[in-house]
Amino acid sequence: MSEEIYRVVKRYIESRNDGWRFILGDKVYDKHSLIERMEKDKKFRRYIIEEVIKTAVDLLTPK
Amino acid sequence: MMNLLSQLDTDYTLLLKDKAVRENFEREVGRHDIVVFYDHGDERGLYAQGGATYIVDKKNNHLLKGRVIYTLACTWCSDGGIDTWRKGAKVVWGYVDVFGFTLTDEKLFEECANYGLIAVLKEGLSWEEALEKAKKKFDEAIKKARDGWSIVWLRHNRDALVCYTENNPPKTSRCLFRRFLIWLLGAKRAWQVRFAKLISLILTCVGYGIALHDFAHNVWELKGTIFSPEGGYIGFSMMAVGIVMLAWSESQH
Repeated sequence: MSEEIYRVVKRYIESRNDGWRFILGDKVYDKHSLIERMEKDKKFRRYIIEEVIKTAVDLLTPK
Repeated sequence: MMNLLSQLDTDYTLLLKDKAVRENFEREVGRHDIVVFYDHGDERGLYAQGGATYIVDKKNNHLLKGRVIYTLACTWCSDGGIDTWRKGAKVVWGYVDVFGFTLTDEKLFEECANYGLIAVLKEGLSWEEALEKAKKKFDEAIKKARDGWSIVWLRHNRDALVCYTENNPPKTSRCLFRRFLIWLLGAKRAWQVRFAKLISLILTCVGYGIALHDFAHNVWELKGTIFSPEGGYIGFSMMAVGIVMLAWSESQH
């Protein structure tokens, strides 16, 4: 299931333009470096997937 | 940062770039009620320029006693911020996890990050009210975001945002025993418990019990009963009243 979510996340990031930047703490990522880190660093990938799932749950929770 | 300062219209001392070092912070902090720190950090402290040392860590965070510290430094409030609050900082505003943002919706992230300070200084809200409104500001930003990735990190930052005050103490701690106390007594009462006082009370009560048992045993050996009008019992009764009075007066502070 989480691999499926990861594939969707990866596709989403790949679809960003080349000027797209994401800053997490003291690291600055473009779409390529973010995907590269997620591919190499399993812990980081899990962290990102968790954040996406938490956001989905939050958005679907009636306020 | 400059945008925020221009909105606040207040006196300030700027420690930018090479001036953002520990010595300058320690020299200037006494002149200000509010310290705003917009740079990186970790669980232990707030980084000085270059990130090799800390401007604030557990060795000098007592300097923030009675002051407000407002920061967006990553994860500081998961440990260092709690310690700073415990040492008497009036308000600790920050994040318990890393702060993330996208350049696509940078303006929205900036508005949310600055909002708490503006809400207190310009709108006159309390810090607790400002926290509540800041979280709502993140919710509004989530609806306005143009990039789905921004939504993930606005939600993340919203959930990581905390504000520790007298009325809103930390709900967790690195210390297992403190976490147990928070679970048992609730955060507000749990943080009032000081370990030195708790241990001294336990030692006093256990020592009292041992001494009373020993005295009663000696009375029984001499008189064949523990119930005998002895001066020692009067002394133990006076000590018991004294311990209860001490514990009661401590709980009133």
